[in-house]
Formats: sequence, structure tokens, C-alpha cells
Amino acid sequence: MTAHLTESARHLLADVELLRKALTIRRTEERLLQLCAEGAVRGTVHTAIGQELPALAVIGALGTDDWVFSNHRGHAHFLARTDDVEGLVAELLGRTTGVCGGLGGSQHLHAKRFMSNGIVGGLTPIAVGTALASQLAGTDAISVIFLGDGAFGEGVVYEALNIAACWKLPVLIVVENNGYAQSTPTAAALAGTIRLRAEAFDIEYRNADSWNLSGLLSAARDAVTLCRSGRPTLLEIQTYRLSAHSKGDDHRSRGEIDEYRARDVLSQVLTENDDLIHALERSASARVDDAVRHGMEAAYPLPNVAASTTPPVLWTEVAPASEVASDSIYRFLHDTLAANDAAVLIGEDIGAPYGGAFRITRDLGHRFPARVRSTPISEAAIVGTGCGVALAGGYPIVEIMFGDFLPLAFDQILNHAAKFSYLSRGAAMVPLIVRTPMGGRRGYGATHSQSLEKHFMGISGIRVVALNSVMTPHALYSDVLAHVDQPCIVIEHKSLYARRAGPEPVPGFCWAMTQGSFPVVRLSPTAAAASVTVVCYGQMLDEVTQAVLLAFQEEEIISEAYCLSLISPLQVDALSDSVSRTQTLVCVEEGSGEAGFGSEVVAQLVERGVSLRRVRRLGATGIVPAAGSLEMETIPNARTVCEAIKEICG
Amino acid sequence: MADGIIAQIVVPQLDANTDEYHLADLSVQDHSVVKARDCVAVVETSKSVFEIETPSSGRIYFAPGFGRGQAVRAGQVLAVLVDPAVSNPDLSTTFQPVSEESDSSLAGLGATFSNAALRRLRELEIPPELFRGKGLVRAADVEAYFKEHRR
Repeated sequence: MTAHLTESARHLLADVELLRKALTIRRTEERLLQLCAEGAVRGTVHTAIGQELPALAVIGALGTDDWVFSNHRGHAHFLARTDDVEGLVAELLGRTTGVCGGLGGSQHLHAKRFMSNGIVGGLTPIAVGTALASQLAGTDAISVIFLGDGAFGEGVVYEALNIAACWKLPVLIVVENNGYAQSTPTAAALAGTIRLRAEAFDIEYRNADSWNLSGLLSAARDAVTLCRSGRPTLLEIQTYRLSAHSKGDDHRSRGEIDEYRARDVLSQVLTENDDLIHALERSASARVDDAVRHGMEAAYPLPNVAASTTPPVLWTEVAPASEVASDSIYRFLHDTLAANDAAVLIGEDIGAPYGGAFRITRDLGHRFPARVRSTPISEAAIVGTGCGVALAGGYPIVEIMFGDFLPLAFDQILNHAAKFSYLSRGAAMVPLIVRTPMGGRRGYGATHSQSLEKHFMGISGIRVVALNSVMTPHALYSDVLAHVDQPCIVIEHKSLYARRAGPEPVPGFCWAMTQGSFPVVRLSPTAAAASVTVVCYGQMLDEVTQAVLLAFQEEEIISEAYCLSLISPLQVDALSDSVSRTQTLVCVEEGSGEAGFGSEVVAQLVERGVSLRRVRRLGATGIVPAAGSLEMETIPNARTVCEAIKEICG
Repeated sequence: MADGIIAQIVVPQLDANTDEYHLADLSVQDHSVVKARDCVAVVETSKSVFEIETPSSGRIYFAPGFGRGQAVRAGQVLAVLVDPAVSNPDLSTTFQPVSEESDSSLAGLGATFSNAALRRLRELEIPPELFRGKGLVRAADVEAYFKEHRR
């Protein structure tokens, strides 16, 4: 009766459970397209119709402890992993019963040890990170990342492959090569071959295709076994997507699509007039119908309207301290590694004996060799790997050698680390700390002297903290570690490293700081009223302190200075009283002043109704030059801050 | 070398690109007794921070005028180690000339004077010490003091 079918079709027909799953995926995705056309699903969907079997073959070979990372075309992977049709449909309908409560939609699906994301290739280093966590924990769990052929246009993929190979991590890269990167044929977008790419990294290569089912299943099992033995492996699967890239954007010829539809194993089986197939069809359709009905009946998510209360600002003395900042950071890192077996340091050249470009990690590589990881020069993958370690329950502290290199990891921070907790409704936490030195005054020139933290301010889901010379780094880092519900970027101005942290006495002024986490430091006159408020963060506190003294010595202007530790999300509670009194504000930052820290401070104060008669914002006036004379003119210093104070009070 | 000097501590060549570095910190007190391999100073180069260690034990005498934040050059004598048994060693010819001496005549008074206040102190021949612990001292404060005490 089935003699006319291909061997693969007969194989599928004989494997009822595999057929049921493949059919369920197809019917679900067909219905999702229909819901899109009806307007019930907002946004877009990218279906994998025609690519169900690769997903099922690979995921069917996995264990429950393995990680699966998917992409924008992730429904088949999700259903293969979870069989949660109801959760997927409700998610795309934007309902509370969706797998992410309607927050993620089609491209951002989270379940236990499953994650998809809409940035092509972006999850690859994160899979490397979960694999690193497995390796460190001594388990045999592997991490699988599904990529399309188009992902090989993304640099972060190569960074991740390189680290996976260098560290012999159990990562399985599954490339579903469907012949197109969206609309561009693979031949026009991919030079060379995927096999050669794997071989270049000394990564084991296996291949298969969608149309030879036994070969596909065998290759998937083989790749999983190889990977589980500690060999990073790449499995390339030739396949074809029978539907459009997204909802209807398809320029391929009908003839080409029909040719592949005829080869498609599931399509072949579904043409059979067979009672079993009819029963499976009815069951799958009924399940999808039920999922749609229940999804439609479920509630839409509502905004979180929990009232946020602002605690009163209470001031306390600044504890005296006398520890060199670099020693203090080292001590924090050492203490964290010693206290927590899940803590991991990741960064360029941080291993012993080199100990990092600024020698912060020193001998930690000798003390904790498995958990202090010197990396290739791969900032995006460094942050992504850290993010993966965090997702797996670790406490990664990554170092970006110079803050100027942090933009290379921007996507990993913005589109990945910052979003996972929200999209998973708190199920996927990312206790990631990113340390990086910023700032100038050392003649390093335009790409090693910048203060770029403002570009990371205002990003929902992350904190940005800046060290200063008054708070000991260990104390501030302890605050960071106590609040790792969100990833945190810590700005370490490089000129602070050799400074002894602690408040230096300033006659006529006293130091104070706010109680609680991420203190605001204040320098205020002991027995006189200030006529101007100066606000800053980081190393600028040193310049501002000098400027406050100069302004008094030269013009008898009495100033009050505030230095924020937490610069994003930024809060002005601690300084609003002072500004209300002085109505005169100077904002100082080392980065460029336009659209930066000072702008946000002023905007928030104005929104609170604080009356501001005079405002000046000081920041870098241009690109930071190497020549010392020009560099000092470009970035704010005690003299320019003093002149601004005098001018505004004049 | 002068009598009692055990060793010189010289700024090493740390960087292929430059021989001028930033003296980031002095890690021990001047005139203190140190052990061999103690870190006595931290020097920052173009990309790294280096610790300068003592070659042997002894009492350390830093070159006069050296302080945090100053530029130092490779080959420059940063300090000498002296036999602790030698008191008041003659180091007058040991160090290269260094930067100008800082005026610390007002340091330690617990007060910050405006320039105008200092001018009035000089004009009125009032010793600054009378304002010890007074915090911020303006010209008006000096005038007020003068008027009160002239009576």
C-alpha cells in the first residue's frame, strides 16, 4: 500500500510518535499564519513549515538537562522540546496563559532550559556560557544552538565558535541551511562553506538533510553523542522552508517551492489516505483548535501598576578607609571566588601571571584556575558567555579590558542580558557583572580614553554603577553582588585604580553618604549655606572636590557636591533638596555632555518641580586627543569645573 | 653611594613605548623599615599597573618631593634603602633634583582660607593660626575678627 512512498516517508509513517509531533508542529504553525492573517496575532511570525524533522531529530536525541537555544524561527524547536502547543498559541495571541505571559511573542520563547531570541546568531555565545557552566559543574549536559545559514554573516557567531573550540565546550551548533538568508540565496551571502568554517575552528562537522530521515536521525544522535563526550560539534542540515520567510514575503518561484514540497517527507505522508494519518490529523487539528479557543478566552496581560515608594533620604558618615582601589577590587573578586563555587571571572588576559591589563585579577588565575578564564579578543562573546553562565545559575564577573571596547558587546547587553528576566517573567535570572575601566587623563588617545557609560544609561533591565574615590570598591561591589536581580555594568575609572579610597578631609566641609545600597556621596559645607549644587559621578568627584575648594579660595563661592554611585536607573532624590535651596546646578561628567548624565539629572529635577534658575552641564568637548595638553582641555578638570561654578554664580 | 646605603630603588623600564610613567601610589611610609620584596610604589604605564618592590630589607628614604600623581622616568632613583642602624644618613647627593617644594604652611589648621582672606590676614598682620578649626574663612571673617579684637 505504501510502496510508492519514499523510504523516509515510510520511516515516518512507521514512527507514529515522531509523525504525531511533526504533524502537530505543522498544523500549529499553519494556524498561526491564519491567525496572523485574521489579525488575532500581532507582529510577525516566522514559521518552520518544512523544517519540522530537523528540530525533532536533534531535540529528540537530547536529555532533560541539556540546553536548547533557538532563533526567530523557533516554534518547531519550542514544540519539539516542550510539546506545549497551548502555551505557544496563547503566547502569540498575547495572553497571560502564554509561555511567557504574552511578553515575548513569537521570537522570544522561554521554557525550562529553552530560549529563543530575535537577534540572528546572538544566542550563540550564551550557549557557550551554559556549556561552560556544565563543564565547570562536571555534568554531561550539552548546549544546542540552532542557527540558520544566514547567521554566518554575524561576527559574534565566530567569536563564540572560537571560544567553544578553545575551551572544548559541549556545544552543538545545528545549522538548518534552508538555502536562504531571509530572501537572499545562500550562495550570494555565504562565501566558502559551512563545513570549512567548522574545520577552521577544529570543530567536529557532521551533515544530514531533511529528506533522508534515517540519515537525519542517525546524524543527530551521532552529533549529540560526540558533543556530550566533550567535542564541540557542528551539524549542518540541508532543509527547505515551504512557507514564506515571515507571513507572506516570498519571492521564490512556485516551481521551486513545489519541487521541495514534493520532496518533503511529512508532505508525502500526509497525502496518504490512511486511517492512522486521518486520526492523527484530527487529533492535531482539534488540539490546535482547543489551544486557540482557550488562548482567545484568556486575559491580556496588564501593566504592572505596583506603586513604587521612594524611601526617605537618610545621611550617614562616610566610613574612613585607606585601601588602594585596585587592591579593594582584587579583594572583592578573591572573596567572591572563595565564597561561591559558581563565581567565574571571564575576560581578556585576566589569567595569571599577567592578571589583566590593569593587573586587577593578579594571581587569581593561579588560585582559581578553572574559574578565571582568559579569553580571545571577543568582547561580544565574553559578555554573552557570561550571560550564559548566569542563566545556568552561576555568578559571572566579566572584564572588558577598556570601556571603549564595551560597544562591541552592546547587543549582548541590550538585546540579551537585559531582557531575559523580563521576558521569562523572572524565571531566567542574569546575575551578570560587567567590569570595565573608563576615562582619560592617561594619553591613550581617542579609542582608549572615552567615558561611554551614558550609552548604557536608560536601558531597561540593567544597572550602571560607577566607582568613586570616596567609597571603597569592595563596599560598592558588595552592593552590586547583593542586587544581581539585574545585570550590572560597573564603571571603574582607570585613574582610580591606584588611588587610596576613602574620604580625604577638606577643611570647612564634611563628607556624608546616603544610607542603603548604592550610596550617594555628599561634600557639604559644615557651617555655611551653599549657593551652588554640583553633581557628578565616578572620578569626576576628585575634580569637583578640587573645584569646590578653588571656587571658595578664588571667589568665596560655597558649593555643595554630590556624587552618584548608581547612574542608571538614575534617581535625583538625594540632591533635590540642595538644588531646591540653591536653584543653581552644575552637572559634571567626563563623557560628552550632550544627551548625557547631566541632561537626565536636569530633566528629572525639572519634572519634580524643582526650580532651577541657572544650570550648566560640563562634559568632554569633543573626541579625546592623545596629546596631554589637548586631552586636559577636552575633558572636564578642576579648573574648568571651578570656572563653571564661578560663571554660573557670577 | 653614601655610607649606610644598601641599595637604590630605580624606576625600571616597563614599557617599550615610553620611559615616562605615572607614579600612582607610594605604598609604604617614608623612613619606615621594609622587608625584601615589599611593594613600595605603584607605577602606571600605558596599559598596566606595576608594583615596584624592594630588592632587600632596610629603612626606606624616598626621593624628596615625590608624590602620588607625578611623572617618573625609567632609570630615575625613586628611593634608597639604608641600614636601619644608621641614623640621619647623608643623602644630599643621592637624589636627582625634583619638583618645587610645596607650601604647606596652612596645612593642618583645619580651615580653608579664601585668597581674599589670606590677603587681609597679611595686610592686618593677623596670624592664620588664630583661625584654626574655623572651617571656611572668608575676608569678611577676617574683618570681623579684626574689628572685634581691635576694640
